[in-house]
Amino acid sequence: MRKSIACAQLVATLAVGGCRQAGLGPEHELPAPPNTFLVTTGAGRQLTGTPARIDIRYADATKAPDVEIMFSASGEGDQTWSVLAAAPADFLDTPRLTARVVDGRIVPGTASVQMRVDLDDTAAPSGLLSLRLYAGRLAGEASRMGDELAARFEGPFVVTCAVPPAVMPGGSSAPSADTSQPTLIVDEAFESAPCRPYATLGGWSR
Amino acid sequence: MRMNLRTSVRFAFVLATAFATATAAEAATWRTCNGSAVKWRGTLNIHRNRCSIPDTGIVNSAYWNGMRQWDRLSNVVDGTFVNGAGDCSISHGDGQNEVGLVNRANIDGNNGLTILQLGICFIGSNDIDEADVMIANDLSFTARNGNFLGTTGRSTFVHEFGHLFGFLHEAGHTVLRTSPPHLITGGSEPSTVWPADTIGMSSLYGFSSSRPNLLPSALGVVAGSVQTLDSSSTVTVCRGSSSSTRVFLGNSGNVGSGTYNLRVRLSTTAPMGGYSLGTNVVSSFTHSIGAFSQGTFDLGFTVPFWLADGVYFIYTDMDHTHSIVEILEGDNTTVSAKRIRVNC
Repeated sequence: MRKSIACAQLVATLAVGGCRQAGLGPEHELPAPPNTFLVTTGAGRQLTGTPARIDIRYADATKAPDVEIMFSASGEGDQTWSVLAAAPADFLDTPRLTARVVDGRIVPGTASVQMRVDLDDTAAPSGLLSLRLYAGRLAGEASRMGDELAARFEGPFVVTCAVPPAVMPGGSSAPSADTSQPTLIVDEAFESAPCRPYATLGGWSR
Repeated sequence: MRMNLRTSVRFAFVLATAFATATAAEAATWRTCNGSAVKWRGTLNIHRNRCSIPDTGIVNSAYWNGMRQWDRLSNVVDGTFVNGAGDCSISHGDGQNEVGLVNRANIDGNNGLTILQLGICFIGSNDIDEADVMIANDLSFTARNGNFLGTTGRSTFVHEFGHLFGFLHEAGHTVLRTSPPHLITGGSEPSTVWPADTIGMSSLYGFSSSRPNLLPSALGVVAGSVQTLDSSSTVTVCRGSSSSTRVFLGNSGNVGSGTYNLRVRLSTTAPMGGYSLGTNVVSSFTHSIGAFSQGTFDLGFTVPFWLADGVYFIYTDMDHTHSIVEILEGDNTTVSAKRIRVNC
């Protein structure tokens, strides 16, 4: 039964967040959202992205983890600038990384810097990536490459930690492979023993 | 297209609910009155505003998808109607539940706005009496690839229809997140509801059937932030060496899946065409997921020696053998943001 309109309460529920076009000049200046990753390329373009990510993977819980660092940012058009780096396990203690930029296989100590336009990725053939973590933020630069790919970057980071299912408390269900390839489960609550030390590494988020 | 908003309710007040993200609450929430849910209990008819949502095309399909993503679970909607093409206003407080596109400026710059009219909570339960859904008409309503990180009009429809059915904003892996990027699956209709959403429909309205519904995502929520689970880059991998793809696997149905088959395959064919292919399978798995459950996994694979040089998209297929009868088919495949280049 319909209730009286005059006595009604209207509740507006908003889906916030629209597309805003960034531009140069004071008339376009916007307050930086607190959790936005900011990239400024050597060509002067300002790009924004979600927090950088450090993925820690324990394929074998008794050995040192693989550590991967990734971040990306987009601007006007369908262009996405991205970094993918493999770090030595001691990066989590230092925490600084200087990596050689390659256009090929990434092994610890190397990184890839790319620009994706639609379905095409263009990688920097060489260069240097240096970054550091401080107070829940990641900052650094990609240098010794063309201005379209070279950039300074700064922003928040988050951490994920993946372990074999057997290491998870309660023995979480994970896909079982037909081959010897490992399946890892992302320990979102940092409950497992290998992941627990990293629960507070991500600064603002945890 | 210019739309007029006509509000005929006097003495009403508008409360903007901008819920901050908090702990990862993996369950839907709704308003309550005297301990019972504020929801639809009477007849629910929905009127399409033909002036802004034409009879055919991608906006029309986005409208229907937005409604059906929720309603196919519980059959709450009693009737659907289309208003006259000359009716270019959305009126509030007229007892008609209207859905249409409007100028963004008319909804305070937001992507969407749902205005609910509720009775006063006094004695007993309380109902939703009217809901008007408005979507910004400058959004793109094209279906995007499964790794698209951004705002889509299709997902905005799904989001706002969630409010129409009575649900509030949520953190976690849900279509009711307060703000974009939107979480999508793969396939030709990637804008969907997730286990954290459907558990709400089950609680409020009950499911009309008992089935699982498997769906993957190349996107996930990491420490409160929606991200592509794999990097948005091309990674060089030699034949015989290992790689992996990170993927969200969920079951939005109300019963466990039982054991189903899962695979990872590589294809040089981009989405959408690549979704339906079945070649270059590089790893196979068995898995089971409980009702309204989910997880994020790194699925390992070895690049086979027989794979030709090329740049490959990474597809993950759930139940590719079609052994599970699901609530919805066509939402079992997605594509990673990562590509692999095989040249060594």
